[in-house]
This record gives sequence, C-alpha cells and structure tokens, in this order.
Amino acid sequence: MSDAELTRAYLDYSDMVYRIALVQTKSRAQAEDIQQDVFMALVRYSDRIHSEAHLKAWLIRVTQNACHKHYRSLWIKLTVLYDDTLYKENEGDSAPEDPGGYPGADDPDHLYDEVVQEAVEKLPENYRIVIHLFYYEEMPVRDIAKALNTSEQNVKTRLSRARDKLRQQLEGTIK
Amino acid sequence: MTDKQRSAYQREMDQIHVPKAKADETLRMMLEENRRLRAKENEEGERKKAGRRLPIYAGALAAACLLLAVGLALPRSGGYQFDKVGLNALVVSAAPKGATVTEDGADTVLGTSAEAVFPGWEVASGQTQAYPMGSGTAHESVLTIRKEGQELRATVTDYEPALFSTVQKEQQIAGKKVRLAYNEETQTYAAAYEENGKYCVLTGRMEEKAFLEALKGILEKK
Repeated sequence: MSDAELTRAYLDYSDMVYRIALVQTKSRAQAEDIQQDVFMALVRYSDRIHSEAHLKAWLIRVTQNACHKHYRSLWIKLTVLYDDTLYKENEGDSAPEDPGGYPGADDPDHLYDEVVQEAVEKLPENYRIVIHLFYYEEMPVRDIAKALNTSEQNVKTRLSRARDKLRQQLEGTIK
Repeated sequence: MTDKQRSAYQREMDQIHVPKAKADETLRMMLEENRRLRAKENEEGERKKAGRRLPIYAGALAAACLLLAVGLALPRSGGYQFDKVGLNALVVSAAPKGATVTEDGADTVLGTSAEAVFPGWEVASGQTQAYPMGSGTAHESVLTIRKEGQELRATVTDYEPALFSTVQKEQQIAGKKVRLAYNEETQTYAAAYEENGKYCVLTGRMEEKAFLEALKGILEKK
C-alpha cells in the first residue's frame, strides 16, 4: 500500500479498531496499544489485502486475535480487575483537542446511554463482540461470521443469547 | 435490543475515538515502517539483479561438483533411494514458539485464496504465522485440506525451506519440477514444489498412486 492508502485506511478504520479493542479489553491503555499493533501489522501485510471489504474483515479479525492474546495473559487478567479506566478518560489525561470526553455527562439521556453501555460491557467477551459489530458497526451476520472466522449460525446463536442476557439486565431499569 | 437501546449504545460509542496524540503517533510509525519496508524491498531487488550477474565459471564449478557427487554416490547406492528418504527431512519446520499468528483460519495462503492454490479441496483448518528470519520476516501457512475422503497437510512458505536443497527424487508432474519422498514408518508420501515465488510441501498418508493423482490435480489446478 502507498502512504496515502495507509493513511486513508487508518483514518477510516482506526476508531473502529479502537472501539472493538476497548469493548473487548475494557481498558483504554490496552485498546490504544492494540490499535497500534493492528495497524503496524497492516503495514507489513498490506499486500494481502485485495479489497475494501477484505480490509475491514482483516482488521476486525486481527483485532480480535490481539484481544484474545491480551486475555490469555495472566498478568493482564489480574490487572484488568483493577483497571478503572473503562470507557472513561483518566483525569487530566486528555489533550484539549482530544475528542474522547463525554459532553453532557449530567444529562438524563446520557445516564440512560451509560446504563445500556454498562449492560453490554457486562456481557461475556464473545457476546460483546457480536453485539458491537451487529448494533454499532451494523454489519450483517454473514460479514460478522466471516470476520470472526466462524459460522453464521454461531453468530446468530451468540446474538440471541446476548440479547437475552441484555434483556434480563435491563429489565426494570430501562423502559 | 430495542431501537432506543441501540441508539443509546451508538451514542455512547460515537463518543469514543483514538486519542489524538496516540493516533498521530501510530500514523507516523506506520508511514516510517512503510518507507523502511519499501527501501528494504528495493535493496533486495538490487541484490537479486546483482546475483544474476555471477561469473559463468561459478556455474561450471557447481556442475563439476555435482558430477563428482553423483560419481561418488552411484557405485554404492545404485541411484537415489526414493523409498528410503526420511520424511522428517521433508517436513518444513513449523514456526517456532512465539511466532505471531497473522491470519487465523485458512481462507488465504500467504495472500492468495486457498481455493486458488488447492482448487477443489476443502480447507479443514489452518493458520498463517510470521516470525523473524535473518534480517526479514518469514511467513508460513499450514493447512489441512480434504477432498473425497482424502486428506493432505499443506505447508506454504514465502522463504525457501531447507528441504529444497536436500537431494530428493525429482519428477516432472504437470510440467512442474516436484521433489518426492516416502516415509516407510509412517507410510506417508511427501511432495515439494515451487509456485509463483512460494514454496509448497504436501504430505499425505495414502497409496502412492492416489497421492500422485491428488498432486497432479493440484498442480494442474483441476
């Protein structure tokens, strides 16, 4: 890939990769490192990418692999328990132009959003990813299956179970 | 998820972006790495060109050595002992521990679709790994492919594996030079060949005829 193509790929997909990594690892620091690793891998293996759709699927798969690797690390397992940074900026950690802030945090709508977010966050890892890809990235089941290297039936099952769990969690809390 | 919940999740996610400082750093590192890789590719291209200009007497010397080696070997063995070539020497070493899995699954083989490399064969499993080799990076795809009850293990690499420099029985199959071997203990056949700059080793535990037919089909892309 040329520099221009790589730049475009980064601008188009860096947030997607970062969000997936954040959803999976629940740690901003880890998600930042993972998105960096994923795009450095893209530079090295860019000759294997043969279409835009393949690029997106490849990035999701490599991100997912990186997150699995992250989970396999015992050290990470222990430290994540104490990582309080989930989806929130560390105090004083943001540059003024950093768009990672949360405007209107006191807004009731925002609190509602947070409850839903927290419910998703409580799902098991393999449910979170399909919920995120389906509801946020708005990917069809077929594409999710391809990106995660699994069957469509498996994705449908995971989605169904994840929805059940979400329903249980949000019952009585959200109307 | 209700529409309202979906919107809430989307709004929350929309707030999340790679911090600008990290994004700038990543992009800078990517472009630096890309330039480094391109410079390396150019350097390797130049080296290959220079390699082609080797003096002709080097070729003559190699031919003389080969004749001498054959002359020494023939009286003792009566020719190459195809049946006694150890398969262990043929199987490409798997990527070492710590190699990075670059593509889980087996829908691609070093950038090419597995279907294009092994047409008509179903890919049962596989993965591609990367690991440092010399000053560069080596890649290796290991797949299990199946067709009509037959199963082959395929290893595709983008570097020349050691087996290509060992003496094997050579045979032309579908117009391609193929090195063959058989392991009596495991009753496994192996074949190694080069295609489009990649190196492929196929191993299968089956009758010789069936193995050669399977190999021919793969090489003829049928």
